[in-house]
Amino acid sequence: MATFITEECINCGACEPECPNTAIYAGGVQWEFQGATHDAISNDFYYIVPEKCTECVGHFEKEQCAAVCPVDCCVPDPNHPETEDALFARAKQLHPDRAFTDLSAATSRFRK
Amino acid sequence: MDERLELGIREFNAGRYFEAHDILEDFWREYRENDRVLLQALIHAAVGYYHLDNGNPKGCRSQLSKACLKMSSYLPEYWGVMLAPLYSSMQVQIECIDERWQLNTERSELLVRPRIQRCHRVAGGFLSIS
Repeated sequence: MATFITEECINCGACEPECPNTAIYAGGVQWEFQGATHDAISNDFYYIVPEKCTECVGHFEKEQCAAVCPVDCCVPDPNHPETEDALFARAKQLHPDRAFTDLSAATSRFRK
Repeated sequence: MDERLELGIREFNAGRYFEAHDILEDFWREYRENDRVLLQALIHAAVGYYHLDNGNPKGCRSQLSKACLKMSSYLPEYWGVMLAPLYSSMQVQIECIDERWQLNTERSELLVRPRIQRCHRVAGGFLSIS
């Protein structure tokens, strides 16, 4: 995962419904993945689950959380860079029932 | 101009920064002109002071810096909004936060919360109104 929410988050919640992978949760809310429930990563503001974030590769031309965030607090995580291939592989894993087309400028921020 | 700009400014001036951001964000989502970045600058400003009031100077500094960056192209006035005084106040606030971190000093300006003033043009100059 290479997108995270900084402490500038004002908890407006605009990002949560935009995520195609349901990777975003409100602070203090437990997150779910593959049938398991996990403790919240942040209790104070919205957070992105690394295992579920694909930076919108496979879905959109740019990260949707960042696009709707009014305070620019959904940002690339410099400590966790990931390749397009890795992110696309994760997208396919998260959505096994979906037929993904080859990546293009419309479905990957890496191809602007 | 959309009344939400007016309402957002009113909330900002009342110190209700979360409410100000909420109203301006609602407007920002729908507004698609090139100057929507100025709306975002005002949102950054509101959120910055919200963070300051809630004990998050780091968040404040970051938001005010973003506000100044996005506002700079629209100085001194745009949409009948006096931006230059707000811009200056935010710059001072950033300095105050930096000094507190680096020098452990507390400037009185840390407590200052700017008001956004409206204006309209009169022959050859500006008339400022609240």
